[in-house]
Amino acid sequence: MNPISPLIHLVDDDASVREALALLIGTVGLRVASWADPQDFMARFDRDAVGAIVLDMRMPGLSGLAVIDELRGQGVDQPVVMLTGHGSVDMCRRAFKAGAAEFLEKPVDDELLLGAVQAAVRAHVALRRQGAAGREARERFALLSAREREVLARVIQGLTSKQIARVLQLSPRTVETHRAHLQDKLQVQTLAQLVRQYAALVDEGAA
Amino acid sequence: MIQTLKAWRDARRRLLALGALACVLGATAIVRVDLAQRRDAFLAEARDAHRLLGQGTARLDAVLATLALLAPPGPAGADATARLPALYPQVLAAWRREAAGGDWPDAAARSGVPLAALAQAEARSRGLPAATRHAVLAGLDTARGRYTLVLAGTPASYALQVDARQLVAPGAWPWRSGQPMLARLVWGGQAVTLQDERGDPARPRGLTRGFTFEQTLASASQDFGFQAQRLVGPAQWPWAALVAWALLCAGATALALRGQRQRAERRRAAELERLARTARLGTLGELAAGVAHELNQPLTAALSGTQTALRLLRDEPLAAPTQATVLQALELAAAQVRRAGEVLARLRRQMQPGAAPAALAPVELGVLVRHLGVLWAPELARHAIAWRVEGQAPPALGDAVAAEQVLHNLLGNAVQALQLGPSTGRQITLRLSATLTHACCAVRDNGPGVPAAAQARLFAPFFSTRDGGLGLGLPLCQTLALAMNGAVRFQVPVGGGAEFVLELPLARTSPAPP
Repeated sequence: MNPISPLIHLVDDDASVREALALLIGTVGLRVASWADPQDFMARFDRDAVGAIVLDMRMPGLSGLAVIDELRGQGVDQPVVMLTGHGSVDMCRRAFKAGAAEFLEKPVDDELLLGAVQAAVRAHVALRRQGAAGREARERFALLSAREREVLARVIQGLTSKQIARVLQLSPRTVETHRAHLQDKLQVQTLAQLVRQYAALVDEGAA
Repeated sequence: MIQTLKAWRDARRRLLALGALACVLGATAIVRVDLAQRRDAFLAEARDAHRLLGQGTARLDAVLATLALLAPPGPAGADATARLPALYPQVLAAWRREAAGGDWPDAAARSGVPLAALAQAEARSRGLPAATRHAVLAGLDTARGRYTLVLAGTPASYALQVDARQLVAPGAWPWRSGQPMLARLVWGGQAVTLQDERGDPARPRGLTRGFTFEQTLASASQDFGFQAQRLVGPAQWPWAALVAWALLCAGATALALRGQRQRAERRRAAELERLARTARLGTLGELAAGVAHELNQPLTAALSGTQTALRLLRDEPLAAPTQATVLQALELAAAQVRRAGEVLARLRRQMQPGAAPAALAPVELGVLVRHLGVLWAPELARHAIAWRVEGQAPPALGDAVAAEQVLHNLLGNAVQALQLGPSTGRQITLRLSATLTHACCAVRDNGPGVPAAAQARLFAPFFSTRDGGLGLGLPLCQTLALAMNGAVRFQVPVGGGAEFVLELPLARTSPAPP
C-alpha cells in the first residue's frame, strides 16, 4: 500500500534505551531511526516520511515538551508518543496539551509501546492518505468542463438525468453523455463514490 | 514571614518610645515628689521661724514691762537699763526718760534714733489705755536691721534699741533642710532681711516665686509681718535622682533592645533553618526523581530488551524443552524489572516536591528579595560580599515559598562561588525586571563563573562543579520553577561571573484584583 514502510524516530539521550527500544520496535517490522540529541533530530529528520516519533520527556539541552512544541509550530504532522520517568498527572496533562498522541511511563511494557506506536503510524498513514486523496480529487476535479461541473452539482443534489436536462435545458441524452464523461474523468464507478469524494469540492466551487 | 520583618522594626520603635516615655514620666514624678517634700519642709521651717520670732518679740515686751514696773527711779534705774544689753544680745541699747520732765539720753540720738521719733512713740504709748498699754515702735532702720521700742510709763519711760537679726539667737534658726531661704520682717512698707545662720540669705534663681509664707507676728508692740520665701527651679531639682533615673531607663531600654535583637536573631536563624529544611526535603525529592530517572533508563532498556527477546522467541520457538525454560527465565526477568520500576515510581510519588500542585498567587519578587537580604545579611558580611538590588518587577504568579526557596538556593550558590574567588570586590547583584510575559529576578555574582563545558549540564541531576556537591540544588530550582510555570535560566553576564534568572509568569493576566 505504501511506497516505503513507516519510519519511527526514537529520541532519547540514553544509548542503551535507544538500542533496546529500537530492537523492540523492530520486531513488528517498523524501521527505526535513533537520535541522541533532540536538537540534532530537529535539524535533520525527514518530515515527509510516514511514521511516528517516540520522544523522551526529560533530556538535557531541550526538554521533550519543548521539542513537541517546536514540532507542532513547524507543522510537523507525525504523531508523538511521549515517554517519561516522571509519571505525574501534571506532566501527563502538559504532554497532551502540547499535542502528544500518547503518554507512557518508563519502564514501558512492550504491548503498550508497540500498540501506541502502531496506532500512531496507522493514524499518520490515514492522515497522509486522506491528504493525498484530497489532493488527487482536486486535480481530477480541475479537469472538468464548466458544463460537466453544473451537471455534477445537480447529480450530487440528487436530481435524475431527466430533471437535470429540464433544469439545464439540455436533452437527457446530452446529460447522460456529460455524466459518463465526468465519471470517467473523476475515476469513480458509483454514484456513492462520486458523492463521498467530490461533494465537498462541489460545495467549495459553488461558494 | 515578610510581616515578621516589619514587626521587628515596629517592636524596636515601640521599645524606644516606651523607654523615652518611662524616662519622662519617672522624672516628672521624681520632681513632683521632691517639690512636695521640700514644700512641706519649707512650711515647717517657716512656721518654726515665725514661732521663734514671736517668742523673741514677746520677750522684749516682757523686758520693757519689767523695767517699767520694777526699775527703781533715779540713777539706779539708769544702771538697770545700762546692764540690759549685756543680758540680752538682741538689745543693743536701753534708754530711760524720767516722766517728770526728763529728756531721752544723748546716746539715743547718737545711735541714730531721732529723739522726736522717740517722743512721738512715747506719746502714742502713753495714749493707750493703762490696762493694755504696750510698747510702740519708734522706727525701723532697715539698713542695719534695727528698730526701737518705746514704752511710756511712770515714773519713767523706757526705750530699747533691738537688733532684729538677733531676735532669734544665731544657731536657733530652724533651717533644717539647709536650703537657702529668704526671711524678712515687714513693717509699714519697710522690710528687714534677717540673716540666717549662714550669713547671706542667698537668693536662688527660680522660674516662679517658689514657696512663700506670710504671717503677722502675734505681738501688739511689734506687729511685723513675717515673710519667708524659698525659690524653686531647675537649679533646685534633684539632679542626682534624675540622672540616676535617666541612666536606669537607658539601661533598661538597652537591655530590652538587646533582648529584642537576640529574639530577632533567633527568628532569623529559624527562618534560615526553615529554608534549609524545605531545601533538604526538596533535595530528597530531587534525589528520588534523579535516582528514578537514572535507574529508569537502564530498567527501560532491560525490560525492552527482555521483551524483544520474548517476542522473537514466540515467533520462532527453540527446541521444545529449551523454549519453555528460556521463556520462563525471560518472563521472570521482565517481571522483576517491572517490579523495580514500580518501587521507583512509588518512591518518586512520595518524595517529588512538585507532586502537589502549588497554589499559585500573586508574588512580589521585590519583597522576597528584601526579606532574603535581611536573612542573608550576617552571612554576606562574614564573607565581605557587597549586596545590591536593582530594578523592579511587577507581581508574578507563583508560590511565594517556592519562589523564595529558589532565590535562596541561587543566593547560596552565589555565596559559595564567591568564596572560590578573590576575597575582595565580591558582589552579589539581584536585578528585578520584566518581559512582556514574565517577571524576572536575576541573581548575579562576580565569582569565577561556570566552565563552558559544564554549562550545558548545570541543571542535570547529580551534576555538580563543587567538590562534594550533590548536584541537586539547581535541578530542584528548576523543578520548583517549572511547577509555577516558570523557569530558571543560566547566562554568562557581561564582565564574567555567573547569573541565574528566575522567571515567573506575570500575575496581571489573572482575574485576581491587583
